[in-house]
Amino acid sequence: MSTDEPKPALDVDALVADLQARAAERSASGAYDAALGVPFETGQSGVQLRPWIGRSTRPVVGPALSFTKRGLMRLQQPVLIDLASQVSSALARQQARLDAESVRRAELEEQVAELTDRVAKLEADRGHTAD
Amino acid sequence: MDAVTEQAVRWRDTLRRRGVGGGIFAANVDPAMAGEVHPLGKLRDHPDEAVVLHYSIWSEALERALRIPRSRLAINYQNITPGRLLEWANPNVAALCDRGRRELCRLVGKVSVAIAASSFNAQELTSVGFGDVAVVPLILPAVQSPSNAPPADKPAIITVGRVVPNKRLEDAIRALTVLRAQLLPAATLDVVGGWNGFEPYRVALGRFAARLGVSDAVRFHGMVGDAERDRLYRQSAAYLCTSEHEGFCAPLIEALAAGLPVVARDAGAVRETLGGAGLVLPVGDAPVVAEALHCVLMHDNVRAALALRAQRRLAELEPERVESMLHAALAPILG
Repeated sequence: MSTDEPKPALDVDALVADLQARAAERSASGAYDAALGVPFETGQSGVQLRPWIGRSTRPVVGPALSFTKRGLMRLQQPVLIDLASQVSSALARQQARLDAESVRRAELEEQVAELTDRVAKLEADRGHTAD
Repeated sequence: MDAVTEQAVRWRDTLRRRGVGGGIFAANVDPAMAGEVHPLGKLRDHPDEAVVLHYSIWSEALERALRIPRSRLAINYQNITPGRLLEWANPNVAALCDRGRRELCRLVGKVSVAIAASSFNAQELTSVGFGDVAVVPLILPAVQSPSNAPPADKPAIITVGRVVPNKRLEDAIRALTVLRAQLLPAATLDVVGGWNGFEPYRVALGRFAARLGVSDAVRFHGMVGDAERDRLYRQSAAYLCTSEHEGFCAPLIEALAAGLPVVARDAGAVRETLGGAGLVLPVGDAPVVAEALHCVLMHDNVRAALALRAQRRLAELEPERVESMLHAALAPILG
């Protein structure tokens, strides 16, 4: 590349500030309300460990029972966490399949609606021709 | 091939060219890589051999590396995605990422050489106690024939990388919706990358695009080979990166090499990787991203200025140059 070549000047910071101002103006006018109003939904699901279920409220022996239960839970925790994550993954996979089916179904319903419209138009055209 | 394995292969190849033999070993070997990558169990420690741990997630490789003497061990820190960004879509991977971050400190004082692909990554290493960290960018293939074609009537925007939640592809889809609503109604988005293990995220993105009414304009290509990826780069008019966590982000450089103007969110090492050769936005706000895309697609002077900066950045990242940096960094363990 020649060093004599004229270099186009670009003040990136100023440009970004300008873009932000333009975006704010258009957003304020409500131009993007439809696009900005739809939340991204993750459909979270899963199994979680709830350590507080090991707490005993019995009088006198409660603290000792809580201590023992917590100790036992702690010993089993690695296994329980692994099982919980396996169940969560399985649930997530099933949810993904269900979601994919829903998307596919919505697409098919759109196609059906489109085809129904076309059939209706064709029938209407045929009716006009017959007249 | 994932980005970490890809770099491991390039490191092995460049070391071989300079007369240093060796192989790649991993705790989990992708069957497709069975010839290139060997099971970790086959790694035999030898007093004349050095080991580089490519660290991007927790695995048994960490435990194995900790048994190597300090004088023969190096770490290449590829950064680790924070688990909270992945958890809802894949809690298992999220847990391994968090464990990887938690246990990174176990390597402090146990390695002779610490390498990071960016200052951002190096900073993370020093913050947990590593001393000198050498910054060696990723080795990326030489540029063949970059093009800087003007955008067509139907500009295609491309984004490349794994379809995982930290990439914030929902922001890209929303930005496309805004772009089409007011500025460029025919714009489309090509999402190139696999979603293995992150199917819930892929489904959520598909549903989101449908709700925004842009299903027809967003194409998910899945994982593709290099040739197909390059073809898609050539067909595109601009590159968009909405990711909220990147330790380097090789696709940014691939996009520059393909002559594409880049619009990216300022996250992790993105600004550093681009080195001034792209429009880096402080937030991933959809209207701002859309304005930026419109700007780079429609204004020749902006594209020309960015292209000039891209050439400078690509020169800084020429493979021969990076390879020399790598050899200099690894010298203490290579002898």
